[in-house]
Amino acid sequence: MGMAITHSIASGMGGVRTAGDLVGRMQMTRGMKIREAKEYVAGKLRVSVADLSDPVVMAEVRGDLDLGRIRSIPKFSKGIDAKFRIAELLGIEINCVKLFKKRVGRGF
Amino acid sequence: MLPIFYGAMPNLGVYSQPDGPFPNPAELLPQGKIKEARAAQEETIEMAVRDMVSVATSLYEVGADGINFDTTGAAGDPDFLATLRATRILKEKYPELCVELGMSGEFVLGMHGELKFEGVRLAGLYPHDQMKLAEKAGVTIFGPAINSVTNKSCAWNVARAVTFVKPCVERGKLPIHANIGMGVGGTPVAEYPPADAVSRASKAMAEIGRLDGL
Repeated sequence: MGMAITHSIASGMGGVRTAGDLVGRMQMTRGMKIREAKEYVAGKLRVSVADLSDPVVMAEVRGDLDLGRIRSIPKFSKGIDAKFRIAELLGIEINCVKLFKKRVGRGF
Repeated sequence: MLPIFYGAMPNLGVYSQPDGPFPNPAELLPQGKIKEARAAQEETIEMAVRDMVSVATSLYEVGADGINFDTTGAAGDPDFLATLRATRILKEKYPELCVELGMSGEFVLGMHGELKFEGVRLAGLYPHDQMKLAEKAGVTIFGPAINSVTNKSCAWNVARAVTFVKPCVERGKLPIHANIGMGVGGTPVAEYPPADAVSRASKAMAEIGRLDGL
């Protein structure tokens, strides 16, 4: 973990603390390069690209949009609940969300 | 809530005797049995492709967001070819599946020497050419690995690694997530690489190399 932590602090976006997971999802699902992925996510969140790496701004934005946060907070979404919202907001398909819908037999 | 990748190393060694069913190329080659060694590698490729597709299919069908084929090419060109073929099959089967292909080294070793993908000989390919074949196979994210030279400084190795990686970032259509750790990407060869060296390599790759991720 030492190396992962070093990378995270030196050049990471901040993961769920900011918008790192959302930018990562656009690379994974649409094959976007990082600049394009950041601009896409910033547009969907209606913030600037610089705000995406700001944990103070993103804590508010994630709270307002209920996209899940670094800690689970009562009344706010977490886990698969947050993934549903992320998939809807970004307009992407998340595999386990798709599987969840299939398992519970609902088209949503 | 985080994206979940399942990572695996394409390991061709397990298919060779005494662990696996096929004759061992590492024993055949020193005996001068080049034809037999190549035949064994070709049989190994077929079985490795079948296994990689089988495992990745199972993982995808239980909800994985992506598959990371890591240290690709560790057994040379047969290993790289098996992974490219497995990727192509998986992407045809599940177009939305994220496949990350990370390399094991900067140079594809020609353990077979005559294997080709899309008409391109695999032996001897460097990252910018590896990336082109990864794109053709349907890879979503490509991870070049640049070996550290142990008798040179960290600064020298970081400069060398960035030099290799930058053309991939500039010319490629795929997001580039270079491997930066434990002897690749400008970091020292160590089980626990020192944080000062890793952080410098990490920062250089992000700010000079303009990587899409690590």
